[in-house]
Parts: sequence; structure tokens; C-alpha cells
Amino acid sequence: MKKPLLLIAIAALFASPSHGAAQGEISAILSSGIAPNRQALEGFREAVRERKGSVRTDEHFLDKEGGEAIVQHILAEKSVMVFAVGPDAAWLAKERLRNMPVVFAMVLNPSPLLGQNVTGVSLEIPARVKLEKIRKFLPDARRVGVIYSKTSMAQYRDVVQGCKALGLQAVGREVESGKEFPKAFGEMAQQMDLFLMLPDTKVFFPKSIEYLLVEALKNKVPVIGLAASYTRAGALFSFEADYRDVGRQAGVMAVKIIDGGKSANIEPAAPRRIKSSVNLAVAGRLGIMIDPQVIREASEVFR
Amino acid sequence: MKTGAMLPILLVLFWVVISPPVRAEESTEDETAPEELLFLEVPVVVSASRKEQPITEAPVAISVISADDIRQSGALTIPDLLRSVSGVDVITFFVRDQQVGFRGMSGPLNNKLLVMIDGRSVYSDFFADVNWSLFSIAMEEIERIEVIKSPISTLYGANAYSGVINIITKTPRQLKGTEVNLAAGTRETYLGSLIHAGEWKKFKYKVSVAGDTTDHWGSDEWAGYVARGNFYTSYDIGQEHSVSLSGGRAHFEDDKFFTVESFGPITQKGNYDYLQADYRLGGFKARFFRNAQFQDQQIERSPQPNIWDVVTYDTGVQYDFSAWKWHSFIVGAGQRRISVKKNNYIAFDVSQDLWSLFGEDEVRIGENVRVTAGVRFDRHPLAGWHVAPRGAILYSPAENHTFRLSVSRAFRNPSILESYLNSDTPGAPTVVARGNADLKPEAITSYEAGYRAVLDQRLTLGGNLFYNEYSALIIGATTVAPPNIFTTFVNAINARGVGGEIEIGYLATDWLSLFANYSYQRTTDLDDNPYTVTVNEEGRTRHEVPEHKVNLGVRGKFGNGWSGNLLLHWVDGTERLIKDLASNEYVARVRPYTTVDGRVGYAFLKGDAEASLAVFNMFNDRHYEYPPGINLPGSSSEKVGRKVVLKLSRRF
Repeated sequence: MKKPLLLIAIAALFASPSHGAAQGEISAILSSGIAPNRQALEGFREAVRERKGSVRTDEHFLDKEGGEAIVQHILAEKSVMVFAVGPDAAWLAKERLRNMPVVFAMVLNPSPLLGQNVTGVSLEIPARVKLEKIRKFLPDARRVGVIYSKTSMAQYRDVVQGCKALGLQAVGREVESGKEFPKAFGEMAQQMDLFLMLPDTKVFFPKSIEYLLVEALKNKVPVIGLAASYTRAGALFSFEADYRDVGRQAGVMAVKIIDGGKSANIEPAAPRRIKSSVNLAVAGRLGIMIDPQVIREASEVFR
Repeated sequence: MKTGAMLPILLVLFWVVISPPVRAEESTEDETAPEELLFLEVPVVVSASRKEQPITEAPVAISVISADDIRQSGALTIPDLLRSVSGVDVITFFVRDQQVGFRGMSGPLNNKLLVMIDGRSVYSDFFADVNWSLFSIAMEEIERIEVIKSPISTLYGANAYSGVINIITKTPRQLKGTEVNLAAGTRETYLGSLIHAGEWKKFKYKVSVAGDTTDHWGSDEWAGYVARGNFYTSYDIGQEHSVSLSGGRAHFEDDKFFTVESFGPITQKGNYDYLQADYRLGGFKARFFRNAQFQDQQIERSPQPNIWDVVTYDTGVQYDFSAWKWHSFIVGAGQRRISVKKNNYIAFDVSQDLWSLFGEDEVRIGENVRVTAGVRFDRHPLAGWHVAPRGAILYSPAENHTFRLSVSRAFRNPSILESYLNSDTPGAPTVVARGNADLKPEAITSYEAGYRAVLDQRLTLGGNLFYNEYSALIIGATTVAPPNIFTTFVNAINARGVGGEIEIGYLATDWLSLFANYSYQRTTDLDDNPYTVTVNEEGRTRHEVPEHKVNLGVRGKFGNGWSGNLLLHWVDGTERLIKDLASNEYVARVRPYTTVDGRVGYAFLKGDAEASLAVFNMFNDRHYEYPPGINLPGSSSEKVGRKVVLKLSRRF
């Protein structure tokens, strides 16, 4: 008697949740199941639930289910809208679900995605916003170092414009790949007051990041990282979007579409809530005093 | 299962490891999404200086085992995980009894290693050894294991003699949700764990229950079980201001557990409990914990049952801060009270108060040099005051190349048993065993040179050389004085150890990685042991631990849900002097052995579930890792064989 019960318990434990989507539901496609994507989905569901009550949101994981299976499922179930989380999911929705409204989130460079049926919330914090925060956090810093490649050329230009507007000076070096990073960083180490990382995978990967954090400390250059994990590892500050709130912003857009709005008429948005993290041990090593107000406002403080 | 029957499994493993995944063919550097950079975990280590720092800046020889390494290895015990780390010796006595040592300091009741779980020492204050199977945490809770192979008493105090193993568990945020793990395998092996964690505003919590049981390697007899449970709660009072409370219990029963030759295997049952409170305000940290160990033992080679009842209270504070631009300081103090109730080997209740004070400064000199210097003062009620200094220089002459030179002095206080043993075993002859309250702490002075390089962003090279001077090593001293045999403990041996490690890691593609390491160690006594004859003292070199060890590993992680892992361990043979109950001496030999472990995993349900099949010692090289004894009643160890385990994991 015990064995059948045990088998039933194991079967229940590992049973796949139902994918049956009722007509009128929203289908969420997540590029992967990493925690930030899930947080965005939670925020999205919260915002929709608060405004429309119980609208079901079916969820699919692109890296596990494959694009074709997801597309066929969504078409069969006649979902009213797609919430696409991450770039792979957003591109799949744009290219394969052309007749369906698509709201994206967790995408750094959404410009090529935008179209008649696509809107959403970018993950990128505008350079001007970052630079304003940097000026508040490091009021004596003037020269902003950036290493970029062709991939991040547009973002570097935004940094240059932001620096001009705020009375700062951008010090940039273009590289072909991360292999040139050490040389470029060495040449500019004495010409900058801080180093600003751009989300460019040609320039930054685990080893070049480790190199940057160690060499920057050696050269007394504060690094502005991409997320709290960078701050924890050795960057002085990082600024990042509040992923749950990004999802909530997308949820508000989705509700507008459910209420009859058109994707094309809803402007894509940047994250409205920015989280900061600070590493006081790094500040000590750099000889930088951090304003207590900055510490109080930080989402995470590392020592 | 015969070796031939393993071939299909091996072929599947090999295929999984070498097959290029579909995603890898499609992926190029340009196609990597920049969003991935935002979610990248950048590694730091905390143990080396009791504060977080990049691994490249650690002033000691350190290795880190990540949560992913743990999962991919499929290892069922922490000692089995540590086999892959260079310089680490692991000995299996019985299936539920393993000991771990560093750089030649290894054996039964190894008391020269400090093991900590989230900052709480878990060695037994009675013997000063570590019961690896009796931790109150599940393997799935571990975030990383930091292995420091250098003496580091300056920061961690007594027992950090040959090094420190720091086990760090995942936070409630990392574990958020519910996780269930079930595993079943050959030799009646069953394991399970249930972990739930969450947060509500500034309050975070974690609860875990787990258990495991198995049969012996050498027979169909039940080897015992352990049921583990723990909780953790924390509250963020404000920025950099938090308080936490945690506690746990391991309830266990072991059929065979090895201590020393004269005792032989023991059966035991009991509870290991702990309660821990942490407070943090900025750079100031305070920690209090209480360890309670209750063991009811029956010794196979002695007619007496025995009960250990040991309670330890430990309070520590530390403050880390930066000053004068180039300096980073850490200072701290601690107090530890050990209380042992009278038992068959201790004639009266014993209570000891230990005090400590430490400080360390890290100075950056110029562009390429960092110097670390620290000192610790400890007071032991019997051994008095002693000092443990350390210093290290790190020099980076070129990009991605770091050289390290260090010298450190560490110590180990005499254990309660060594100081207070008081036992007479009637018979012919009567064995009169007494502790020695005049013992000095064992000391080690270690000189190390290390090198680490990262070449072409994919190849990691590392190497360490060490020269250790051991002094005042404590040994058991037995003299025959008819009609009695008198046994006690003395500081009788000075020794030296030399050796080194070479480590290579290679990230062949974004889905395939390989590693290899080699360890050499040789320990030579500088004095004759006056209590043994010379059958094992050729050149006074100790052959009790393997001189040579090789580890090889290959791992594949594919985007289609499949993953594979293969590990090979080769361990040199050993020799050990064994005494029978009449104090006759024999040299017992353990032959070299090779084990190959493999694991295949498949993630499904959108990554929330995984099924895996792990095969340990797949070619069934049945081997001893410790001699089974000569002319002794019962065996001191059993042959290790093959084990196959199927595991299912589910996250909600």
C-alpha cells in the first residue's frame, strides 16, 4: 500500500502545471527562468490584477520549451496579448506573433523591436540619469572613463552628450574586443576620475570584469558597475532597474491595451525606479567618503 | 553490478560530455545578450581575511567550491566534494565516517582543521575533530565552500592549524520558494530534503529539514541515519543594521564510527544542536552561538558505554574599517566557554574559558604590491598565553599574474580528552589512561609561495609551494609497567612537511570546461617517537598520507537542459603503524586507488525540476582508504565500492 502512495506523491510532485489557457488570457514568454525575469513577471501580474482583477497569465520559458512550440500554443489558445520578458522572447513575439499586441520588458536596447504591435519597458537606465546620480554620489569627479566597442557606440554617444550637459568630461576608448581591454584601461587609468561600465558583451565578460575590478582598485579608480553583484565584487556603486517595478510598468501598459488602447500609441518607457548599491570597503580602499544620505538611499550596502 | 554493466552508463556520460550542444553551435560572442551582463554573478571570497574580497586578492592558498560545482558533482557528502581540491586528503573509514585533512595532516580523529558553517565552528570540543556526517544543513543549502589550505590562526584561532573550511549557506533570498530533493540508490541509500524560504518586508526566514540513510559498503547491514533540521530568521533594522537568529539539530544513529585503534569502531546515537545570534551595525559584527553535542557511544573494543555531553558557548566581536587611504584594518576579540559533564573518561565536570584578541592590517604599497600583517593573542586556562602572527606579500608584475609569499604561525590547543582523560580499564593487564594538564599547544610555522595567472581569459594556472615546521605535536604515549599498561598524551614530536600543488582550469567553450590538479606532500619527523619501535620510521618519513594525488574533471552544461560531469581521482598508497591490543606493532599498507565519478542531469519543467543519475566509483575499484587493522577484533575500516544514485529535484 505504501509504494503506490509513494509513487502518487512523486508523480504529484513532478507533475507539469496545466498549460490550458482560457480564451482571453495573457501569455507570458520568458527568455529564461532567472530570478530577475520572474520578478518582472510577478510585478506584471500584480499590476494587471490590481486593475483588472483575475486575468490569467500563462507562462512559457523559451530556453526550455523552444520558440516554435510556444508560438503554436499561443496561437491555438488565442491569447489576447503577449508579455515578452527578455530580448529572445521579445524578438520571438515580434517576428512570429505579428497580429497580437506585445508588451516587452527586460530588454536593454528595444529600438529595433518597436513596431505597430510592440511596446514595452526598456531595461536601460538613460545615461543622463546615471550621470546625475554619479555627480551626486561623487561630486568631485569630473572625468568619466568609458571603454566601448561598435556594439555600444550609441550608448557611449549618450554618455558623451550627458557629460556635456552636466559639465563632465567623457574619456572614451574604442576596442574591437575584450582582449584589448587591459591595454585600453592601462592607457586611460590616469586620465579619469571614475570608470563607467556599459552593458557590452564584446568588452565585458567574466575575466575582463575581474581584471577591471582588481586593476581599478590598484589604480584608485572607482568603478560604476551594472548591478549589485558588481558592487559586491568590487565596484564602488552600481545602478540598476527595479525589475519588479519594470514588470509593473509593463502591466500598466498591458491594461491600457486590454481597455482598447493600441500598442503603437503607447510610448515605450525607461525604468522609473532605479536601485543603487554601494561598497563601503571599496570606498575605504579608494579613500572616498560616502555621503550618509547616499548610504541611506542605497538598496544594498556592502562592506 | 559487474564492470561491464557500467559501460552503457559510461558511454552515455561520455556522449553527453563530448556532444556539442545545439545552442553552442548557434551561439557566437556577438549573439550573447548584453542583458546577461546585468545578471552575472561576480565571485568574491570571504574567508581569507574575514571580509569579502576578489579571489585574486586573497593572501592565502584558497579554493572555492560553488553551489553549481556541488550540484554538478552529485556528491552525497561534503568530504567527497573536497576530494577534487588539491592538497586535501579525504579518508573513508566507514560509509558514514570520513575525515578530511590538509597537506599531510590527516588521519582518524583529525584535530588540526577548523570547519565553520556560517561563521560557527563545528568541530567537537571534546576530541577537537569534525563529525562530517552530523551537520544540521542539507547539501542543497550550501552556497559555496571556501577551502583555505594555509594555517590561519591569526584570524580564526585554535584549530585553524592546517587550514579552514568555511561553509556558507544560501540566503533566504537565494532560496526563496520551496525546494524538494529526493534521491535513492544502491546499498539502500536514501536521501531527502525540504527547504522553504521567503521574506516579508524587512523580515527574512529559512526552514530546512533533511535526512539520509544507507547500508555499509562491505555488507548489507544498516549503517545508520541522520535527520537534520535548521531555521534562520533575520530582520533589517536599518541600512547596514541587522540582527539574525538561527538554530538547528542533527539527530543521528551510526552503526560504525572509527576513533582510534585501541577503541576500534563505535556505535553511537545522539543529537548535535546549535543556536546562533548575529548582530551587525556597519563594520561592527557581533556573534554568539551555543553548540551542544550529546553522544551515547558503545565502543567495540572496550566493554564500557560512554556518553559525551559537551556544551560550548562562543561570543565574538569584530570591526573592520579603512584608514589613511592605503590601510584596511580588522580587529576583534572572542571568548569561548567549554563545559563537559563527567563521563566514563572524565572523572569530574570540566569547564574551560578561552580568550582571544586579534588584529590585521592590509596595506597597499605602490601600484603592484600589497602587504598583509596580523597577530592574535590567545589565552588557554592550561596552556597560558600564545601568539599567532602572519604576514603576506602579493606582487603583480604583469597583467593577470600574481605572486604570493607568506609566513604564518598557528596553533592547536590540547583537547579536553588530551588534558583530562581519567579512565581505568580493568583486565589483564589493566589499562590506566590519564590526560596531561601540562600539554603545550601544538604549533606550526608555515612558509608559502604561490602563483596565479589567467591567460587568454580562458586558461587559469595556479601553483603553491609550502614548507611547514610542526612543533610539540601531541601523541599517545603508552608504557608497559606490569601489571598495568599506562597511557597518556605528551608533546613528543617535531616534524617538517614540504610539498606543493599545481592547478589548471580551462574553459574550452562556453559549455565545456576542464580542470586538473596535482598535489605532492611529504612529512618527516625530526625526532624518534620514543613510544614505538622503528618498523615504520625509515628516514622518519611519514607514509600515513598519500604523497601524490591527481584529480581530473570535465564538465558540460548545455542549453537544452542536459548537463554532464566526469571526475577522476588517483590517490597514492599509504602505510601506517598499527598496534594491536597488546601493543605489538605492524605496518599496514593501503594500495593506490583510482575512482571515476560521473553524473548526467536533465532539467525540465522550465528548469524548475531536474532528474540526475550519478555513479560513484563507476569501475568499482574496491579499495581501503585506511587499513582495516591487524590482529584486532573487528575491522577499523571497510572497502569503498560503487554506488549509483538517482535524484529528483523540484522547485516551487
